[in-house]
Amino acid sequence: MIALLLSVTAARAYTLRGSVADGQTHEKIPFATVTVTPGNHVTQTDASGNFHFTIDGGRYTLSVSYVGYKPFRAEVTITADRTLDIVIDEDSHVLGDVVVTAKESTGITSTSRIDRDAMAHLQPTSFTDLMELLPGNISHNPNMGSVNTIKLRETGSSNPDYDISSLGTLFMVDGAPINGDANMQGIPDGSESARDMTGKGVDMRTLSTDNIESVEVIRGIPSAEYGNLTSGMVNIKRIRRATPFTARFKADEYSKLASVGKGFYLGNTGHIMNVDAGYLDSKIDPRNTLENYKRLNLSARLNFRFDHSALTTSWITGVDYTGSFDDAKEDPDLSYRKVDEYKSRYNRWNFTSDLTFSFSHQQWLKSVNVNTSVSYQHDRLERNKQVAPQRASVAPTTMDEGEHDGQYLLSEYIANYVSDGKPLNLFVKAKAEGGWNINKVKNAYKAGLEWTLSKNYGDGQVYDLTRPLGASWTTRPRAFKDIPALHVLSFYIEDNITLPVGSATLETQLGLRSIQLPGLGGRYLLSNRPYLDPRLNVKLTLPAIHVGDHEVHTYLAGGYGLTTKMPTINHLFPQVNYHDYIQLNYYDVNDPVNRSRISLRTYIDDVANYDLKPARNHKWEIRLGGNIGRNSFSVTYFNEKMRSGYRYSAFYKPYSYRWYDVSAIDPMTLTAPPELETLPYEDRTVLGGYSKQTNGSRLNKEGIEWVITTARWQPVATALTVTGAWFRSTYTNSQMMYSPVTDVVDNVIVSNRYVGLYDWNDGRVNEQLNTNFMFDTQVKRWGLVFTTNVQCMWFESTRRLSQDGTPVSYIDATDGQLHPYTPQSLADPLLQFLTKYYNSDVYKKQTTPAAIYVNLKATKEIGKHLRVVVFVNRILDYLPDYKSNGLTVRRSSDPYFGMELNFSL
Amino acid sequence: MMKKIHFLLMLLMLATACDDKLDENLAYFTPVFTVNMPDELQGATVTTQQLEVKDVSSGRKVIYSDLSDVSLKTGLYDMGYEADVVKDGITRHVTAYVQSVQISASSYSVTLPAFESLVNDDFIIEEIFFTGTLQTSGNQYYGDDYIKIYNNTDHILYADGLTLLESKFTTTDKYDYDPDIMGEAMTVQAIYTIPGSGKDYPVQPGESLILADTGIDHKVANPNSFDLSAADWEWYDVSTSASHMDIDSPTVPNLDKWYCYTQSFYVLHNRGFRALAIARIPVGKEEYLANYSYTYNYVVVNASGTFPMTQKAYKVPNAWIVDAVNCSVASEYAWNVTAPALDRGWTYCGTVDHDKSRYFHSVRRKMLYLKDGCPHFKDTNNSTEDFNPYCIPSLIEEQGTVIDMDGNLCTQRTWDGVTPKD
Repeated sequence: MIALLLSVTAARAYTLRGSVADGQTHEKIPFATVTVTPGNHVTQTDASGNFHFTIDGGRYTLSVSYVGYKPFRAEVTITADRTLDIVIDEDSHVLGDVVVTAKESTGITSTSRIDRDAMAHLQPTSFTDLMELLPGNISHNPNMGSVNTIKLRETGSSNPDYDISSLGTLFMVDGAPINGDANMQGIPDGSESARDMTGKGVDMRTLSTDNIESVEVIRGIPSAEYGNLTSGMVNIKRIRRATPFTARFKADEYSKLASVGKGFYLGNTGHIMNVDAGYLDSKIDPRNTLENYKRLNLSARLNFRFDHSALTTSWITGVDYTGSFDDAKEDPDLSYRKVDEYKSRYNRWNFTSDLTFSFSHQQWLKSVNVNTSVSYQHDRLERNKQVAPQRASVAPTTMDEGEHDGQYLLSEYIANYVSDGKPLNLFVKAKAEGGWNINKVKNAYKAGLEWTLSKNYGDGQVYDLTRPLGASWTTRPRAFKDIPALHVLSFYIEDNITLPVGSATLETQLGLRSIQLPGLGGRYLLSNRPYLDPRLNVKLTLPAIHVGDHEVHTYLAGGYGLTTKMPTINHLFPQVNYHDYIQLNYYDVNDPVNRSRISLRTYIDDVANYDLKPARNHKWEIRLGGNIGRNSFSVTYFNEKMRSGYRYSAFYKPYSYRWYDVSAIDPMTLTAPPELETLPYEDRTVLGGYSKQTNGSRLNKEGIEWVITTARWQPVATALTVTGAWFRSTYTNSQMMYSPVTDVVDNVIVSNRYVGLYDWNDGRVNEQLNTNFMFDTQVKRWGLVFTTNVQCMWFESTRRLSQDGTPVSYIDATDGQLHPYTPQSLADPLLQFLTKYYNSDVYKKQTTPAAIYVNLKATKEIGKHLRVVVFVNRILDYLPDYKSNGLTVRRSSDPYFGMELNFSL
Repeated sequence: MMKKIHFLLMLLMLATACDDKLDENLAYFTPVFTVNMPDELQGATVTTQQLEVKDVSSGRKVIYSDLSDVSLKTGLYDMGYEADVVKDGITRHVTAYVQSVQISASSYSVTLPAFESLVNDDFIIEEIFFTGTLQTSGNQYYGDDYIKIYNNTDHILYADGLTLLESKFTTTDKYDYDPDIMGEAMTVQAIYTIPGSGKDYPVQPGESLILADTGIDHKVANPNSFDLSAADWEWYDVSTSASHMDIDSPTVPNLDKWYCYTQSFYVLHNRGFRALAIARIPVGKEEYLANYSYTYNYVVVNASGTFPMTQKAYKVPNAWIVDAVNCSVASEYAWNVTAPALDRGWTYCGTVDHDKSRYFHSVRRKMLYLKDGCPHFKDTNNSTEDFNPYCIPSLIEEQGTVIDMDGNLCTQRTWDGVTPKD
């Protein structure tokens, strides 16, 4: 029976072959997509424009598609082998109109969408470069010597107190997040902090753009489907289609980049495989060969699609590797320090699986999806440095509390410091979608749950306590693998109703998301406490009206939402704090090596903040958009308020130690280190400071964003896109702050006795207004796309918030209590120093006037296989001198240029 | 004509000598004095003058206020000359000193090379070693900086209460500090005082005191450095935290730390951008700390904007300041941070900012002449004129230690970094 069936099947299979050619030139077209349905047979024409299928007999629909051409569709009946020569015609409307900038989405929340063509024209070195396409941004030179963090809808602050900006922006790649919650690579003394990603989210340097099909940057209120974020999200979809073999070579002042990729069908089915690889070698300063950044990325992605009458199964998987390598070294010929090296290796392996079942026969459950992702990083930071102790320094050598002898560091040594991180992230998300339609009312709903695990298996900081990287270190190593895992569990439901309101259409998206940290110890306030994020987006599409010859469509949209970002591992489980007080510091002048003694009293404090709450942002926005004929516009006002951003805050408490009087030691009679027991002493108490993670940062963002795109004006084949924004961002503290003074008065270190608590604003308010005018000229006949981008930063201003230098109270070492700071305190010989003086002129707004730059980019197709892209940023600039407090400030800028070749074979 | 007169005089002298041939040792001569004024005081009018003549054999001293009154027997004499002179309406002070002048029948003319000098009856800063040394690897080494204080007078001075000051302002950044008090006081950020009740620490004429950062043998931590364990005083910064530790040498007593801007260890600005001074503060410590603060405003303007600042520091009235020395580098020099009355010039080690050749060098005061085997130093309140810049430090000379990164040893011995001792 089986044999019979097989033979019957074999007997009914025919060959359908043919070619695809241009209707006018009759040139054959390679890589046109040819689809035969039902059965979803898909193939691409080969380099000669030919295709072939092996299919059963029957009636089919054959369609051919190719970018820039009108789709072709025909019914064919197969009863024998057939040959079809198909001609397709250029689409004169679409033709050549590639979108070379970010498109403002007309969806329910404000979103910028950047497609492959825009990326190809922009020539990015990393994902960072795409940011200039968002409203409010202008182009910047690549800065590959430090972590590139994202800032949405704000002027930006380099202060780590406001790292929540980037930490709270979610990056999703093919439905799975890039999770940095277990990253802890760094150096405890804060050196190289610019390259430290801890608590900053995603380093955009590590993201290559070459395998990205599209990017959606959700600036507004994201759907309840997305969480563990405060600011917005970046949704990256990678290329998952058949493509010719492509190769890209780019060179500019800072870097060389090469990438290759190909997408192909596996057999005649809907299965597609994409593979690509890329390599970047960049220098931070072209003149310095000793500091560089390299990136290697490899990716293989498989798309499987199985069609059955009632069920379509799609399984999308991918395996990725990203290596990111920072190197910095001092030139031994130029530097005094003979050894000074920094190396940071980031290796990330990622496996994603996205399985979707779609049901075509029922409405109430349309699809079920399970997305899983596993990523494992092996990060290693190595710092080798020659350290020169001054006079003599002390290295505390105990890991325990109590009294012990420290070790003098009497001469130079080479310190080797390693930070070994092995973050593992698991992600599982399951969701179901369904809906119903009654008359003109459409309802779609979805619900899901999401669980992420972050855990670091690294050895952490590894170094010899007697050979610290800094001769004054009082920190100690810690193994990351001893730190517990972080689990984040979320649920969401969302409903989307579209209904007619008169002749208008109202779309409402209402969702609720809950987020919690299961498995966190009971001491934490966050333990098993769910936080709810309600999110609402509404869009009212008004009926079209006619103005002259044009059809005018307008819509009004708005939204309100709460977004929550849970703390990271480093926020919740910080390194304990070590305090080492010098009880005896006896340096023997006659025999320093054998007779000196340094006695320390070590305190270890748990500085975990068990009351830490998540960072929560309240967002709302209102948007007006539409189009007049082929001209479109969109204007958005947004307002975001957060007062629980993460920051390290200083705290003080009294510590006691025994001060031994060294003057009782007679260096002439000493034969061994002095005995503590015989020395006179005094028990002393001083204030010691430590920092704790708190919700002490306030970040308010407000602004207006606009995007206007005109129709192409055919006489010069040019369209104009005007994007811009006004931002007002406030960065400040939301809690009172301790701030020590450094004065030493009459042999008394003031901050050992008193530290003031100030109710002040230590931050600033920044404003900026910009508009970018992008003229984009596309001449299909010449295969030319030419853009002139006039980027105008009309002004940038900053104003320090007023700061009251008089403390409200002060902590006293003698009792550890807070006392009010009164006018009498000002007369006290020591307490008077707690009053800090600020010049009231400091709070004046400082404004930098207009800066205008012109960037040129051109893409030229040469033949069928080669495309040349060149760019010069800031080829022209207008940077007028301006007066600031009577002084003339001159400005200058340097052009940034490069070119690249794209091959498509 | 001149020749003739000289000839006649000689004849006359010879005649006198012949007359007293039997007892030539008892003969008295009136020396012919020539005072060579410094170039800038050529043509100045002498208003008052005094000459101290010391008979080397008897040790007897006679002071004359009129040079024509001087009458000396044959013998060896040391002569010190001081005068007030007026040039362009301004009164200036000059000194001269000559040693072992032979007065006899054949030699009775005396040339007095005069130098402008101040009437200073207190200590002077003889040397400042602020640059520090380098470790064998080339790393900077801190902790061996020192200041040498000298008794340039002819009598005992007491170091009790002498206070070391470092300027708050730098000579490389000029701001309009408002209110401007430079005419009356120096703004300081470090105040360290020699303790004592008034007569505990006598210093003989021609003797010096070393105020050191850390009074230990620095060769232990840095073989390129030298020994400061015999310093007279050290500024020890009590620290409780292991992260910034200072060493309290058991052999060197500590200065009393009245005030310092930093709670970490205090080092002299190692590129030399500040002024250093010594003062005698006539009020008590508590009274001073309570009453001599100075709050001022200034505006920092740079490419990133304009930054008005308010700060608070201590001030020391100029009248209390005994000596002040401004240091800077030529490429960065902007102004002096003390009143011109305290210092009209500035001195340096290195000519550009971050000059890597500056290490192992100090600024040393110029010697005018040796008096009783001790140098007499130039003091005109003009550090440009008074100091030899970029010298090998005196302690490195004395100890014959390393003078550069290559480990070369010091072989020279000088009085002031320039004038050889032999």
